[in-house]
Amino acid sequence: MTDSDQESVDPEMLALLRADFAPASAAVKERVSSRLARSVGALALSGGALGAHAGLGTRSTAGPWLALRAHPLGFFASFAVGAACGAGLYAAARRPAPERVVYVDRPAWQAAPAVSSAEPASKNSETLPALTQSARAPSVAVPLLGASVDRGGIASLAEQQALLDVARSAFARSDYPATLAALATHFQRYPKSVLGEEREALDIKALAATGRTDEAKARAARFKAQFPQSLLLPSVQDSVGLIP
Amino acid sequence: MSFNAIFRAEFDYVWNSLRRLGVPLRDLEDLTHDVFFRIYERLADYDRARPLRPWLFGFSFRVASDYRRRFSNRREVLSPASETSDPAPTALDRLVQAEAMTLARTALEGIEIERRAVFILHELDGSSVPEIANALGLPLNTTYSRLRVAREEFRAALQRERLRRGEA
Repeated sequence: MTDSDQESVDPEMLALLRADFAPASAAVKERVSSRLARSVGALALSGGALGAHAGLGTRSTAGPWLALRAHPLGFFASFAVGAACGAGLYAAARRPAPERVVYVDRPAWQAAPAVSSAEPASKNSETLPALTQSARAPSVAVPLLGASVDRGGIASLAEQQALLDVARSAFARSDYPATLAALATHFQRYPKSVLGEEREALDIKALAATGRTDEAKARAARFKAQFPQSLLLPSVQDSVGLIP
Repeated sequence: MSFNAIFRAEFDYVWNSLRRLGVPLRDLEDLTHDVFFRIYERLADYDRARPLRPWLFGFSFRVASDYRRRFSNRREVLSPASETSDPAPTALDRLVQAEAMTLARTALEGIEIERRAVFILHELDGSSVPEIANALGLPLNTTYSRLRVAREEFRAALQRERLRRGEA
């Protein structure tokens, strides 16, 4: 038998099946791209193989690691085991060091203002380019085993994601003030979020949709400089390019 | 080739590969995400001397197989013909075309998924059998054997369906 041994396979049927190649819609590509950015962000945050188990906020259905992803307790158990192993190896390899105190941002769940329509949006647009400016919750001293957790920590990823989902839903129903407000709240609570790339992309699109042309274009240019390989870049540029 | 470039260039290929492997429309988006996430994790393993699409198809096949195992009690039906492009100029032509497409899809569904993967890669994507063997991690003889049986299953399914419709 050879590769070309197909004389008895109906060529018309094969031709039909070859032609049966329907492109996915732009909206589908955008959604998958967005989810991938989150998954890849979670991978980068938690590192290597563990990251593959930590893709939060997705509805995916395949693969054994997705079982862990679908179950929060499984995820946290995996993280705890990984952290314990890492800490053990670190302790074995290094001499004991005095406890370090680092200053991190505490998510200000209680102190954060309610999501409203106009005011936070303008604050967000002013502060986003410089991720260290204003709008931060008060810093508190937290004793930690290791390096600073300046992105809110893995445990907050689900909360960050939930807040982004609020913004995304608002954007989907063309409620741009609510989108900007939710994003502003996100920025206020998680200024250095690992999901910042997605937040910024959505923010630019919402600004463009509300007619804040110059601001959106400037932010899009900075987005391109900051995330030149971003999967979200085409949609960001498209939104800015569509402004009349 | 960067992951970003692969995503942009091959999204539709992955999407349609999953569809041809029997993933229903309602789950295509989730599984396409899963395929690309696995590709992202394994991109460093890609041998650039080999063709890209069979390598991508290998991920699609494994994701679709996992999915099928977990939902083996479901009947899988490929997307209806109305979702495809509309190449025919008249209503009658469209009807005939749609009927023929349904027949072809039904026959494709009649092939067991491991053999269907080989069949799709060879007959629809034009990959050589050695490439398929490499992409799916199969011995060469097994790949030839699966292709042979897949063709028989395809022919049998076509004949069965035509008989059922009174065409033969």
